[in-house]
Amino acid sequence: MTSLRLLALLGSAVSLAAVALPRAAGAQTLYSLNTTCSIQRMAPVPCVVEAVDVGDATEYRHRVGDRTLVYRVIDEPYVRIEALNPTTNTWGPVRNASIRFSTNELCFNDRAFCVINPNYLNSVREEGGPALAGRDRMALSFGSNGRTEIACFDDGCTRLKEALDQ
Amino acid sequence: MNRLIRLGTLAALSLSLALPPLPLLASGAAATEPAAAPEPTLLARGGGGGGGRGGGGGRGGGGSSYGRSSGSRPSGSGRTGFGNYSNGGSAYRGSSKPAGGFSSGSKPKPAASGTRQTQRSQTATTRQQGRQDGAGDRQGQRTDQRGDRQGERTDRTDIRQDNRTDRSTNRQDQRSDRVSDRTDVRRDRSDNRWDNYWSGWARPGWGYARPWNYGWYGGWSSPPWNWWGASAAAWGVTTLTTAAIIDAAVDDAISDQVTYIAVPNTSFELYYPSVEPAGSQGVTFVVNDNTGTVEMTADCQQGTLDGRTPRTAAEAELLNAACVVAYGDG
Repeated sequence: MTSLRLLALLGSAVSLAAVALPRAAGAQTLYSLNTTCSIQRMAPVPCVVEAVDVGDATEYRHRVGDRTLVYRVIDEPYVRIEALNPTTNTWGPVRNASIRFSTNELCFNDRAFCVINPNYLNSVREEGGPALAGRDRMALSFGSNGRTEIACFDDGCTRLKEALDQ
Repeated sequence: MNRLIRLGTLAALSLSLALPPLPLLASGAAATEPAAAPEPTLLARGGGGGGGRGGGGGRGGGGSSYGRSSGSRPSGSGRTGFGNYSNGGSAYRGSSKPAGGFSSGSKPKPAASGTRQTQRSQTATTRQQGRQDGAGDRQGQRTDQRGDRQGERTDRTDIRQDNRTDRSTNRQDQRSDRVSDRTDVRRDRSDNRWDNYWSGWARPGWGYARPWNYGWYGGWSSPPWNWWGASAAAWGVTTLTTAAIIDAAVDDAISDQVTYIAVPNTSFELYYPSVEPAGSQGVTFVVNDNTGTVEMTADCQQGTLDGRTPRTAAEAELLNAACVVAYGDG
């Protein structure tokens, strides 16, 4: 009887997990990765990243404890990166995203969320080709419509910020 | 000039959003970064599968993938959003075609076989040309006349359409004006109402005049609400407005004899004299949400607004502002 209860509980948990995230027909898991995530600039904690191609987007699902933070990247008609609002289950554009190759780190929204994802950084290297050779940092800032407004690289990000702060 | 200043401010804000704090940009910042995952470089360099099933964004089967469309990503490599911007200012090649001289329009013609043939061709060409010119003139005149008639007709249609659009715009403007007037009147009535019910504590030095306990709310950079971290990260909100800012807003409002404060980063107007404690951690208040005034409740300990988790960053700011007025350092 105890085993049956456990089984029922497990079944419920699986069902809940299945509805916790939006699923679309044709979703294809690209990879799953055990790594570390940092929320609100706090100390990194273990998390699991799952990269899934869903339609025209690639979703990056980060399971941190009992929470899941989901970001997605859409290429067409222009590059957009959106975050899933966990309370309303709706997507909204992130304000900015940055990467650092030397630490395999990807961050969103002024480092409100960061993840160590070497797979992602490797994909960027693949996409960028020779143009990214020798680069360490890159950051994108998005407008309210989700469209990229600023892109900067390495010390260019620092210099741009300094110039605008003057 | 003002526009320039605003533009500059906007650009500065955008960039400040885009860039991590300066210390993190320094070359030696790696030491201050969160520790990398176990064996990260293995994945980054080799595109292998270490650390998880399915592997990473490995090399896509030979050949550079530079400039490829998203449809040809190697398996295991997701969209990143960064690849398209990685040129870093390198020259854009555009869509010019290679000038190889083999396009269909440059096919070499065979040389004429003899002089007679050439003359005959020229005569025929002249006759043909004359015939075409005559026909072209007649056709041109006919087309011009038709074009004029069509143009006049289009002009009349445009004028009618413009008149119709103007009338429609005027009606719409008048309707918007009436709605705006009604909203203003409603806001004035609401403001007057709160003038009549000005809370005793809402006066200079209001923090100490509050008749309930205060001081336990806030003071943390990340509220202890269980929903905060994930929601805030998704919203792109790092912290909520500090108690000092909200307190200053209330101070200013009291000295200006205004009965509401604009909740920072939102379009909400909080009628601060309406704030009343409910139990040891709850609060009730009235707020103008642009459609009218509504009464709401909040649980400052649980972080709920009307019994539910805030759905937007603006709602979280409203919850925070009401709780600061009630239980924050004032």
